[in-house]
Formats: sequence, C-alpha cells, structure tokens
Amino acid sequence: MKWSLLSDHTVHLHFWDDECVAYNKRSGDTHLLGPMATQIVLKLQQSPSDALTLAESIKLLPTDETNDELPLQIEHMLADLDQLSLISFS
Amino acid sequence: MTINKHHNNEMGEQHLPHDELSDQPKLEDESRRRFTKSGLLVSGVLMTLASRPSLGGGTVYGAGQVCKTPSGFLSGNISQHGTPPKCSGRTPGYWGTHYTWPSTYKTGTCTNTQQEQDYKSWSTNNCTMYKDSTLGFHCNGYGSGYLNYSMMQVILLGGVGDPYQIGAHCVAALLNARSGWTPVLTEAQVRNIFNEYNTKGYFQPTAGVKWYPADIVKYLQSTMTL
Amino acid sequence: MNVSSLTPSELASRLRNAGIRLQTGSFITHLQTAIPSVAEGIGLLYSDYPLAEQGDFADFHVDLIPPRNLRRWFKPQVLFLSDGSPPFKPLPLDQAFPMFEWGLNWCVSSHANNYLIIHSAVVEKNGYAAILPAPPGSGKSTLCAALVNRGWRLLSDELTLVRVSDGKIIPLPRPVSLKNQSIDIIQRYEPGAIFSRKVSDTMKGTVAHMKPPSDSIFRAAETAQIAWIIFPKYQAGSAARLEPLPQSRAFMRVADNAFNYSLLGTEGFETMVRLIDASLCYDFTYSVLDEAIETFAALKPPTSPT
Repeated sequence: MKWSLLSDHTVHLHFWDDECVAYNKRSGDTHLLGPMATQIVLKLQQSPSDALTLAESIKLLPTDETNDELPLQIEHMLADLDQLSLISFS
Repeated sequence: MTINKHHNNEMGEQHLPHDELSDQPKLEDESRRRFTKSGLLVSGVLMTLASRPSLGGGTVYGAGQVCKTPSGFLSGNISQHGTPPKCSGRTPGYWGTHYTWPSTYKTGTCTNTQQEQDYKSWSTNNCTMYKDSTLGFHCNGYGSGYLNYSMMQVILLGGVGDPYQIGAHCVAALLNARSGWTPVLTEAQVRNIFNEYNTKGYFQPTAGVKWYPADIVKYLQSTMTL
Repeated sequence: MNVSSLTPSELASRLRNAGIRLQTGSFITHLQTAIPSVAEGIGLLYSDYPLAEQGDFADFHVDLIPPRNLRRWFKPQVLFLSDGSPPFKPLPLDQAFPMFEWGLNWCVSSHANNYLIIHSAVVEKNGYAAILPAPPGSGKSTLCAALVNRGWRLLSDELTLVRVSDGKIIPLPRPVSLKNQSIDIIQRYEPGAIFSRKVSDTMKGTVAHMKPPSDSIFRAAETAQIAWIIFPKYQAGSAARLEPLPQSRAFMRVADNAFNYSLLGTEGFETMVRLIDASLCYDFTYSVLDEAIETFAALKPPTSPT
C-alpha cells in the first residue's frame, strides 16, 4: 500500500522555487503547498511511495538538526494532502 | 474568496490582500528552506482558496444590491454572475410558526400546544438538534450554549440564551437555503458562518474583517426579505 | 465619431430617446437615460470616446431611470437597469453618474468570462503592464491616477482583463474613480486633470471621477504584455519600498482578488499560472507620490521570455 498523486485529470500543479500551487478539478479548490508538502508531491509525481521512503529521500540541509520525528510529520502531511483529495492511498 | 489557513501554518491569524487595517504580511521573511521541526510547521499545506463562484472580491461598487453574499454585503459590492439572484428567505418568526420544515429538517414534537412559542414546549425527540452532525452546527466553543437544544427550540429561545438571536437566524437561514430561497447563501455556507463564530467568536467574510453576532445577524436578515 | 461631436443638448436628447452606443475598450454599451447629471458626466468625461452606430451590436444595455415608487418626488432616487433588470437597489438621484460607473463595472465583471477578471488597477508603459491588485484603502486608485498622469497608459483603474486565449491584458480605460482625500490629492498633483463633480454621502464617502488622459483612450485597442504584479500599500511616512514577493504567494493573493477565478475552473487556474509565470511580483509601500512614480519608472521587465 502506497501513496500516489491523483492524475493530471484531477490535480493540476505548478511549481515556483520550493513551493507549489495545486488545483483540484473536482472540488475547484486551490491550495498553496509549502516546501515539505511540495517535495512530497514532487516525489509522488515520480512514483508512488510511503512515509518512510519519503522521509529518507526528501533532502535535508546539512545545517539542520537531526529530526527523528520526520517520518511522523510526513505522515501528518500525507493525511492533510489526502483530506484535500490531492493524493490517495492504495 | 474564502481563504482557509491550515492548522500547521505558523502564520496564524494572518492577513491577506483585503486587510486594510494591519501591515502586509512579510511572507518573504519566513524561513522556508529549513526542514527542522519548527521549519516543518510552515512547510505543509499553507492555505486553501475555496471554490466559491458566487463570492466576489473587493468593493468595486458603491450601490446597494438586491441580494448579497457575505463578502458582497460588506460595502455594497456585487458578486454574482449573470442574472442577479433575488433572496426571498423567511425570518425565524416564520419558521417558528410554520411546522412543515424542508426535508430532512425536523421540528420535533410540541408537548404543550397552549404555549407553542415557548421553547420548553418542544421536545428533543424526533427532531433535528442544533448540533446535528450532518445538518447542524458545531457547539463546542462560543456555540456551546446551543448544545442541548433542537433547532426549533433555538428558534424560540430568545433572550440571553440566544444573544442577538444569532442561533435563531442561523436556523432560519439554513431552512431558507434548503428551501431554495437564498441562491447566494447555501446550507454549507450558513454552517460555515456559525461554525467559524463557534471557534473564534466572529466570522470573517473576508480576511481582516470580523463579523460579531450582531453583524452576522444583520447580514442574515438581509437575505430574509419575506 | 466621438461623443464630443455632439453638442450637450444633442447628447442629452439622444440619451433620452434612442440612446447612445458608447465604446469603451472592447465593449459597447447602449445607454439610455433622461437624468441630466448622467448626460453631463458622459459629455465631460467621455468626450473622447467613440460612438458606435445605432444598429451596431451592444454588449450591454443600460438604463438609468427614476424608480417607479413614491420617491420620484420626495428624496428622488435613481435605478440602474441592465437588460431591463435592476441588479442593485436604488440610490439617491445625486449619485446617478457614479452609479453608472459602478454599474458598468458590474456589467463587465459579471459577463465577460472570456477574460480572467482581477479587481485591480493596471497601467502600461513600453508594451509592458503592471497590475496593482489591492483592497480599498490601499491607495491603489490614487497611485493609478498619479501614474497615468506621469507617462503610464491607463488600461483600467478597477478591472484587469486577462484574455484567457493568450494571456494578453485587454484595455478598458474608463474614468478613474477617486474618493475622499484622494480627489484633492490628485487635483493638486495634476491641476490640468478633468474631474466630474464631487458626489457626497455615497457608500464609499465622497467620490469623483477623473477623465483618463486622451492617449489612453485613443490606444484602447492596443493590448499589453504582463510584466509586473505589484501590491501597493499606502503607509504614511514610509519611504517607497519594493519587496520581492514569491510567485507562489502572489498567485494566491491575485486569485483572491479575481472575480471569476473559480467560475473559470481549470482555465482560470491555467490563465493565472501563465500570468504569474510571466511576472515579477512585489509588495510596494509608499507615502510620497513622486517617490512612487520614480520607483515605477525604474521597473525593468522580466528578462526571460515565457
């Protein structure tokens, strides 16, 4: 079971620097995604994934503190994106 | 437009283009590139522009309007497209005396027909509660006073139990919307107004503007033209 | 033929009878009214605007009439009709000309859905447009009025029209709406500017309309390419300051200021993406008009084509 981005027919994305705007055709809502959420959708756009794999692959700056809670925080973010019907779990 | 800020957004009660009263947000100052614990708080879903075709932006117009949406009501601007909708909503007084409510809203049973206008005469059996999870409102904040009442009871409550009759007007607005009498104001939008008030003590038709109960009632009354 | 080719009494007579077909940018409005202040306002502020022929197609059919109620004699009122229906409640008769202006804005913003329509001023220089989205009180109209009197072409002071098919900005130059102190400020700033009579006690306070420079009217068919999106904010005592705004943030703020972004659905999103992609975006704080003018004069368009 993995997370994947909904298809182009449903979700339109556009990226600027480290953020993006996402338009959901079904709801008609537009969302502004911050850097982490943007990285998540970028990864999911390439291929379906799970929270742990995403936590490992999402780039951290060398100066950042070690963040053990990253996988959990990514889980929360995935739940948010799911609630907005931008991604699905299957 | 309704812009909803997300709980994981550090910007908090932030300002958007319509805020005349405070400084523009210094969005560019926020550190967005650090995925540390604190940095993640501004890294998620930051805001949503809800799809509301009938809610307009700005105050282009100084003229009064036949029927207005919440943001359109602010200073007389026009926000609908095409044929102007006309509101023909009924008042709480109407719904408190007409007991055929639109499906699936239920009045409940009147246990004392001698005193039909007393909220205590109405039972909470077979009724729609004000806090109904599908049809009703959130009652865990400023709305907690309505927690144990049916919608019919709230219509009749009055006095200190229902300041400015905000509860009564919200029920009436809900029933009007269900009846198709207020094209610019849907049931979902009515719930949104009260629920935001429940959480914050006010409703923001557009960022930077706060409607307290009296303002909310004034707006809802403008949709109750019959 | 322009409005100025009619004498005031010819204009008033036409308005009372068959009406006139007034061309503003790419819209033709068939206007009929017997209200003298409207005829005067048209004669003064629309003198350089073309008139279309009687039989020509009109986008909007507008009447300004006294409502059919007792107010015909006591505190008389005026009603705005679009295609025979009133979108607004009546206003005091004294506000008839501003009502015409507001009503025409409503006609455009309600019907012109082949454009993404943004509540903003938009000005142009050297083929490049600067959009100034802003809520009331931000000083947008004052700034716009100043800019168009200092070398910028007026495309619109209220409605930016972005053509969905190609992203071009379509001019709709009409009288600039100013209110309260802004009227005096611009009258001092540009003593030669032509103003309508001040109208008091409107919902916006005291309002007046400024005739756009003739150049803006004559070039109304010339589209422009977007280059800058600038959110102005008047702040007493502040030096002029341009702060870059991330495009993602500008997108949300402009969409929030668009009348029909939601209505246009996917096309609205795509048009907005293209608009933002092509723009340099800024927050702009100012207090002195001349400093604002200098800042705008120094703007450079984006270097990379989109």
